[in-house]
Amino acid sequence: MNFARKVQILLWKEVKSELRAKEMISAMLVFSLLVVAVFGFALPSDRELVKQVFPGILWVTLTFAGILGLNRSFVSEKQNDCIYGLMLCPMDRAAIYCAKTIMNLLLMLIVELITIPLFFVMFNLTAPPNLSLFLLVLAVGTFGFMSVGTFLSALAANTRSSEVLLPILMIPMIVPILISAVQADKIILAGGGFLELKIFFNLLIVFAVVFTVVPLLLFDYLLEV
Amino acid sequence: MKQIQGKKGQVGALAWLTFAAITIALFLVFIYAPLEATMREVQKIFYFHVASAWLGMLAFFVVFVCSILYLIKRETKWDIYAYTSAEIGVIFTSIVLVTGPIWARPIWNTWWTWDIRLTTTLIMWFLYLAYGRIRASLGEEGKRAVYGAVFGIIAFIDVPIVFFSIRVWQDYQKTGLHPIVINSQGTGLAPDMKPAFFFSLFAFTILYAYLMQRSVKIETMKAEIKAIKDNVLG
Amino acid sequence: MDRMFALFIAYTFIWALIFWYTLRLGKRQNQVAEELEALKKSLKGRM
Repeated sequence: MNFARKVQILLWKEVKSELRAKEMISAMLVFSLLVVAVFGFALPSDRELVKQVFPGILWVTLTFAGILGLNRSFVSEKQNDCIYGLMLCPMDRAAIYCAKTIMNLLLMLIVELITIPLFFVMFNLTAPPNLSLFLLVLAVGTFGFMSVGTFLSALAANTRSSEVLLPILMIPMIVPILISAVQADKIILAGGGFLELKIFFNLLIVFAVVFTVVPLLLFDYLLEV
Repeated sequence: MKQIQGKKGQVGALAWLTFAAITIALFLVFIYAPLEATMREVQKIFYFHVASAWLGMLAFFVVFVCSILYLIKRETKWDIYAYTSAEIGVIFTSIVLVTGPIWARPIWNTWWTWDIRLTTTLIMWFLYLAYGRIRASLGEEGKRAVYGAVFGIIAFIDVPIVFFSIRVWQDYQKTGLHPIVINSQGTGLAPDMKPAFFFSLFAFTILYAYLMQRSVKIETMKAEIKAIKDNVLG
Repeated sequence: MDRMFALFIAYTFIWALIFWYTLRLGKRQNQVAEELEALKKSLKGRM
């Protein structure tokens, strides 16, 4: 059985178990919607001011929603020692990592698809002129976020205070994504084109690549018995 | 000032060396180096501030290397080196983060600025703390060393990326209050300041070696105790 | 903030921290050494 097929099977298992209980997605969605509402109250109604802080607010929201989802990603495996069942499967541990990352990424994208338009509506902002660029930055940023996040979630899940530990581990690590994505979004909302944000985009790509490769190399160590 | 061990000569020698180096550094900083033109006395914070920053980076690098070595060789001593270095690193990075604003306030009229070096140092500090938290939440189980090592590696890889992303951001905004000490034209220091600067770096490196040596000794003794207890009870 | 004062505070902080850490190491070392000695003695006593 080749690697891709193994990942596919594991991924299907993830999807099925999530479809059953809808734990992660419901928590992430509700949280994000709440945050949209809270920012609606908290921020001034001056559209120009909001426009300036909007990328920051957006990515902070995504960060915390993502952490919420990631917390559950591996903790659910600890119940009934499911993780050992997974490890007994005759496959590369890396396949587990890939499947989980893809799953978390899918969930995050669904949450983003729902909450981001709501953000725009809530703050009376017009859609960004360069929509495809905006979506591209979103996709790459989210991918980098989820790949390092899944890895750190596996690490934190095996510790005592896992739910508190994950944000402590993750937030310093994803600072490059936050900086690059927020700046890129600022440029996009101001009507800029690809050339202007190229350097931030490169950073996002570099981050995504490095923090997919390194976790793949180190993941086996996390699942040692 | 520093305790000199009554035990074998080795520890004693390094302790004396550290004491001497720091004393000389202090002399160079306060007496030999001239008063800087605009900032005058406050500028003297700079020597130990930069030396501490250098020490923080060195300590973090040692954590990185020892983490890799631990994962490959699985000898406890690499784990001990890694976390003692991390502990020393947190202390000196804290020194940087506190002395920086103390220096900045009279000069730039602000306690903090999101300049590249300060911000990267801050993130590095958080990463060190995260490393400590991982070890704290794993207790005596065997995973503590492995997980610590894994994070030690991935965190260190993050630091240059953080540095570059902030630099790109700063270049884009074209701000930057932090003086650049070493650039392509060499140091921007007056010649009389150079001895104090370079010697401070040297003195702090010796200080690092001394603190590492003592800490590692303590941790090794603790490991010995544990081994004896396991032997007797196990 | 007067500049001499700032300098004083900064260096005091550095020294306080390094001093505190060194003393803490010293205390730890004494504690651990004592424990080790006590253990070794009790082992000898048993044998």
